Amino acid sequence: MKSHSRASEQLDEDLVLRVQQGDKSAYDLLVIKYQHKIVQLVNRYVKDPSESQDVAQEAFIKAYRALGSFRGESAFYTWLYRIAINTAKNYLMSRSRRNVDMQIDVQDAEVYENLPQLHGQETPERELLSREIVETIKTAIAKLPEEMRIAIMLREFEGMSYEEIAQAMDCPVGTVRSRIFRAREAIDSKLNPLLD
Amino acid sequence: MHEDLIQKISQFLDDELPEEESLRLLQKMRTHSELAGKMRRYEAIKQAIKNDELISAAPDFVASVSSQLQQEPTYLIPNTTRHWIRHRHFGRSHKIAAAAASVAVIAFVAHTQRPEPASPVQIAAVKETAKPAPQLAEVKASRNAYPVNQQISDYLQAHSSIYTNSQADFQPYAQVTHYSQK
Repeated sequence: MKSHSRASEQLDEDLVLRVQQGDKSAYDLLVIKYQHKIVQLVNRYVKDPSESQDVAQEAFIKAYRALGSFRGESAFYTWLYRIAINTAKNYLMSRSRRNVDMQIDVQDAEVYENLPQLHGQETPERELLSREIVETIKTAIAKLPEEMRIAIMLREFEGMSYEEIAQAMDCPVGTVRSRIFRAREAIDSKLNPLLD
Repeated sequence: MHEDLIQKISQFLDDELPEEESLRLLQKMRTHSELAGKMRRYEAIKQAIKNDELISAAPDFVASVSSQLQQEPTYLIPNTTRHWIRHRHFGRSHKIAAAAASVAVIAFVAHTQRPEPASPVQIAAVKETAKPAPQLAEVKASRNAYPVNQQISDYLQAHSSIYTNSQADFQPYAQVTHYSQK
């Protein structure tokens, strides 16, 4: 199962090159692309949603400062994840909040992303809302038509590509693309009242 | 919001959108808050499905990072240090080309060295003349019949110009050949 497509890496390389050539606006695009993943990753360590935002921002600034020395030995997102993890660890150490498991490194990051989250220092209201949203999403998935549900489950739980899902479900890739999109739209429509 | 664009967000999150389209989508997100909001919700849905949690970047996250970046110096890295990507791509294409060339050579050699199909008559002849491989005992017996020392002695006698095998007036084969050439 693929984790990062060649097209995605290629886009990162092109944007990094543009930043290295002096185009700061290209870095905005990298921030748009990775903001949610980095905030989620940092929150695994910091366990505080509002502080995670600040630490993630700091990680992006550090990455920008270090971009001059980036030579592409690893993929950009791996490199960025490493910086984010180190920033989160430094933040925790500076606050001496809790012991950090120093064994966790960037190689574990993607695996770690898939582990159940231990809820941290959220306010009771926020935590309640989060739980309600998660429950709404689960209910919405359960009510999806079978083919949509299978398509999105294979994508999210098994990490299968559209091509692999198409083979598994014996249908064209375009159909898989459409089913996953329709599934997300259906879930999003149930989510709207809670987020408004 | 155009449905086609939203579908592209879905593809983008799954790393299924081609590079050029991904770039265009990201550029649109910079100016269209609705698109950015949709991506935030889709990201949240993805995460909630996988991890039972709900967290994503704040709506002003990009703007905040961008304003901090204004204080940072702009990179103007010399051309010589910027070639890592080109080298990386060159190396990759080079490897693919080398692999393809190797396969082509192997296929060509295999094709040219493939024996012509034998006729039934030839096969029958081969069967008749083919002898079974000698057994280990037979090999040992033949070695005993012709001891190693004798083999070495015979070899030296045949090839050395000075070895005489302790026999008077014996001219080794190599020397005799030499005289006759003179």
